[in-house]
Amino acid sequence: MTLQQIIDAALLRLNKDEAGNPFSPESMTGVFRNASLDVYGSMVKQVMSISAQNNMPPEQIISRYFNELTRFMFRIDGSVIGGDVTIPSTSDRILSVFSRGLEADIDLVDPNTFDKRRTDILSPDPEGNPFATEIGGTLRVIPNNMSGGVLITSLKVPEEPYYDYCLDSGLNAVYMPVGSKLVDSGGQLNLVDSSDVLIRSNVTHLTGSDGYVSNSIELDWDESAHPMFVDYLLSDGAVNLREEFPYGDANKQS
Amino acid sequence: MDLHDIVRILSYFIKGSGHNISLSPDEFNRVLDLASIRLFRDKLGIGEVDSQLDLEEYYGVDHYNDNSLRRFKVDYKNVNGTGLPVTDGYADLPDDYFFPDTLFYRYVKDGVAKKKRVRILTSQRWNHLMSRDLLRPTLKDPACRLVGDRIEFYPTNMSFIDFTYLRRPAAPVYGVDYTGGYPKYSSGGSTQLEWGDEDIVSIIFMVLRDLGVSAQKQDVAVYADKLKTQDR
Repeated sequence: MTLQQIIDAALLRLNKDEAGNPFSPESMTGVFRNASLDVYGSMVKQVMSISAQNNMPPEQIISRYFNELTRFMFRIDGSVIGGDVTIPSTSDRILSVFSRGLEADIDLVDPNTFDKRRTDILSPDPEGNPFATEIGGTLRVIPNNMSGGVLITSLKVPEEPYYDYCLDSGLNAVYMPVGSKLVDSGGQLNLVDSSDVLIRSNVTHLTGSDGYVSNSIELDWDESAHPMFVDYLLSDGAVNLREEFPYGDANKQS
Repeated sequence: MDLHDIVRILSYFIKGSGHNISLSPDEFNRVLDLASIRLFRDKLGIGEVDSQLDLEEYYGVDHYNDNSLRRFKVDYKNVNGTGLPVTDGYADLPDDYFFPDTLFYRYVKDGVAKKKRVRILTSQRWNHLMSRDLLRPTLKDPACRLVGDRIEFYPTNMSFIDFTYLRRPAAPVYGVDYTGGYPKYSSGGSTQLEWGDEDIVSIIFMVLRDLGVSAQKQDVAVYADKLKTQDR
């Protein structure tokens, strides 16, 4: 679904309920950005919570209950230099770390536990049970002289959507799909798609003129997740939903 | 059983009990040393001295037949080549001194070497004898008392004393190598406990008790045996 299709689906339900506030086009980019981040943040929070409660790796929770997040997972080959591994800025949440040299999973702990454990002789031998903590953009590992590097599995934040639009002669907002552009035709601007098929004639854009290409960015989510955003928009439009958010309770999906 | 084995046993019982206790090498050294000293005192029976009596009646060599304490016995002359030097009735206690064993005064009479045992008195007994001319110790029946880090003798004209004592058990040191950024055990840099395995089990039991971990001494002994068998 494009951003406009999601809006239309939400409007359809708004009209059905005859309630809620209309969406202004200038607010849509912010609304979609918030929606994307909220849905992502909510899912990640639940993944980490279920993982901690059940002592299961977060990746396992994602593949079992939050498949929508798999597209945001990526792997990093990191080098250990002086016990530190630089984490790419694209990484939002580290899910797991594996030591290639020790051929063992690295236990991710909070900084307090890390400091306590690194001096604790009662803890399992770090040679067989390596551990690490994230401090700033760095992953600090023990043993700090491990060779072979580490493999980090991480989540990145979804790309931010952008709703670009123009106005037709009746001052109605017209969504500019990805790849669409404005072309001058006999002194008036027309909106055409990437194949130059006319979408709407005689439009105006806040900043764009002839040759302007849409800056729209679609949601960085699988289609299967899009219904969540329809519900999100409804909620944002002050509509009381009769059904719960599908992402509201992961345990119900099991 | 070395210090690494002790850590493994402690870890087994502490983690098994669900306690979230951690020990740095320094903390481990301290709790272990305390338990070692406590065992030493327990074996000596310190704390049960009757101040009216001579210490040696309680703590002479014949009174600690526990072989485990004999390893701590030191003959001053064997270590230093001479008897304990006495100046003006006072002698400094050796640095590793923990508890007195026996003191003898050597002298030559009519060309014959003789020695007299020097009684070790409590201060109360000492003061009592010194306050009476007829009871005051003589070279035929010399006496001493422990004052701070010195021994006070009477008569004061004795010059060298054959002195045996119990030294303090060596403080354990868990040697570590920080190459990997954490304290990895290094047997080379360690000072082991100077006790036999049976006594070490008692020490581990004391440490667990000090840390608030409930365990049966018998279970500690069984697990220690199990580890020993595994490592063979």
